[in-house]
Amino acid sequence: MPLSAIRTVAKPQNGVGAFILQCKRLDFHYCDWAGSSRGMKKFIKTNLAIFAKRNPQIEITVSPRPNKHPVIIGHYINGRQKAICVRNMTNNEVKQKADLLRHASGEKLQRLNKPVMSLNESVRGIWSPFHGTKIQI
Amino acid sequence: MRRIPRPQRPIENLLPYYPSWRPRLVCFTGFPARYRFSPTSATFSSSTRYNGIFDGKPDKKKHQAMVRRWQKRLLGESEPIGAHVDPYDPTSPVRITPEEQGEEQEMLEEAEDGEGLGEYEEAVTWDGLEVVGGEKWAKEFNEWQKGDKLRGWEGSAYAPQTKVTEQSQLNNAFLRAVVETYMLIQAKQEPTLASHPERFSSEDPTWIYNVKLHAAPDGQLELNFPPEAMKEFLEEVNYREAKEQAVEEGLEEVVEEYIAEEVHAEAENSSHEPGSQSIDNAIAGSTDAVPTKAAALVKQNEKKPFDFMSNRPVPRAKREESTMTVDEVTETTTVNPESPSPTAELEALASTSEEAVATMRTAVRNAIETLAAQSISIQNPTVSEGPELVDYYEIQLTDPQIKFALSKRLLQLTSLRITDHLLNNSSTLGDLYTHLLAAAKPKPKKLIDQIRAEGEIQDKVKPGMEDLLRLPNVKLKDKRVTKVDKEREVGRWKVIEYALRERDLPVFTKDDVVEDRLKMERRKSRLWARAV
Repeated sequence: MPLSAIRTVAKPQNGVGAFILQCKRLDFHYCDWAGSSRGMKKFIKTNLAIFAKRNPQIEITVSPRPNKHPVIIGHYINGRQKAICVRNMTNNEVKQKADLLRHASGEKLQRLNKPVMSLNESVRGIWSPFHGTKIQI
Repeated sequence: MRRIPRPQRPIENLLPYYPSWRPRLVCFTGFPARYRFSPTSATFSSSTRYNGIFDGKPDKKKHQAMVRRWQKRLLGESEPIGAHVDPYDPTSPVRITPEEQGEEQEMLEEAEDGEGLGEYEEAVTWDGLEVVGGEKWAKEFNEWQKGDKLRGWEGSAYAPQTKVTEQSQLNNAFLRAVVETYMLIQAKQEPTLASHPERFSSEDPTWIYNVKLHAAPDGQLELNFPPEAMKEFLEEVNYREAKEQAVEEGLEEVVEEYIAEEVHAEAENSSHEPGSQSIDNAIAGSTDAVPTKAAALVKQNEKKPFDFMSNRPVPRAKREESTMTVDEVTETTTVNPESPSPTAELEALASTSEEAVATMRTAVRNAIETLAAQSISIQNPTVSEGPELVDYYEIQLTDPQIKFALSKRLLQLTSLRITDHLLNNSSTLGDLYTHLLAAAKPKPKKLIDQIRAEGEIQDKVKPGMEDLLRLPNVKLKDKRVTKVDKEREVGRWKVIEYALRERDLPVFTKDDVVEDRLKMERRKSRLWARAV
């Protein structure tokens, strides 16, 4: 009986084949009057065009939000949103926050207790008291 | 705290005097409780260590001796005035009022009764009385408090109240500033003299339009003007300023100096031909004559030495080479061979006495006038067509003094400021002109307007925020984004609106809110009208 080959299926993991950026939209809100928006306005005038050009896959909206602190809201593919208030930040600091949102996925921030997170099963097997060095008294 | 009963009389006087027992008033403010001594009587008596000492005579004398010793040390041997005067003695001089002593007292001027008042009747109603209060009055009052801006009299204001925005007016103002400044430079005066505060005139003087501008190949500006223009201008600028200063300091010679200078400048301008060398030599040509003449002018008043701290400008020594060249001479003169002798004589006189200067001035003036009258060929002054004649961008601006003088004069004429940064970076007259036009345009306040304004500028080398307008993934919004806007984007709003109207529920969008509010207000007013 001829052996049939193992059917291989494309691994469903973002980045293995194609990579899809998780951040799909960034909203930049500023206030024309308030002083806390100075850095944000500077960012919009100087760095935003470069940022938008480098990330054509992200939809960017710039709109005033009067009498409120400036905020960047990121929308992700999993449907969640992340907002960062950038009040009283400089141009570069706002850029850092924008990059942070761009690199993030929509998942909630979690504490990682384990050193390694993997989908592969353990290579050497999970320990059991029955298979291992025998203790002799 | 336990209340301690206060004795009626101070007990410290009854006690014997032991320094260790006596708490010193000053030291015990910060001490903790256990270090305090037994409570004493109230300190209302300002009890000092020496209280109780004045009972005995010798102690009083000792005390007075000590006081006198310290007075001598501090104030000298003489006794202070009023040392032995007892203020409580009814006959003491301290008690006599200054009025009785004969000193001058300031008294208020007593109002003379009945002047200008007539018969005074208290008003019963408010007809004809001044009304004070209300929004309009408050506004006027605030403006009055700020200061009388003298709206009707532009002349006294340093700069126009409203910024000049019209292109033609800006052009004229720029031309005027340039002409005035460069004329002063050509006359070897301070370029900022053009913007002296006394020189107000809302209308441009007509002679400015008779000045022709040229761009020299080395990048400097050349002016061609009739001499009367220069004379008129210098008089207006120098004489008034000089006279003011002279009046201030009481130095009339300054005025004469300036006039002599001005005449000097005139003479130079008018007698440019080599044929008229005699006049030049006589007046200014020879280098020997110049310093002596200048020195003579300065040393007029030997009683008053030269004051380095005063603002009086020192007449500068004449430079042989001048950066400004008068291209086309508007006046040519022929020399009268007999002229040298009287001028030389006059020159000799000038170096000796003060009065000779005045006579020299008048004589030279007369000489020039006679010479000028002999043969003059004046070119018809052409009306300069403004900036089209000369390209402002060709003329270099390197001297910060000239830049400053120009910007100051422009501020006076248009009340538009050119910032220091822009001034610093402008290297040609054209740059300055561009900055002036930019200053006249009101800057957009909103970020979205600024981005749009940037987008309109063409030929931009460095890309900036105007790219935001063109990028396909960027959306710029004018107004605040609301829930309704978000629903509209997705397409859900139509459905929501339909559902609300179906149920007779109010449908509010950003725009609708105002309309509904107005409707409600109108309904209310109708109700009120019915009730009344």
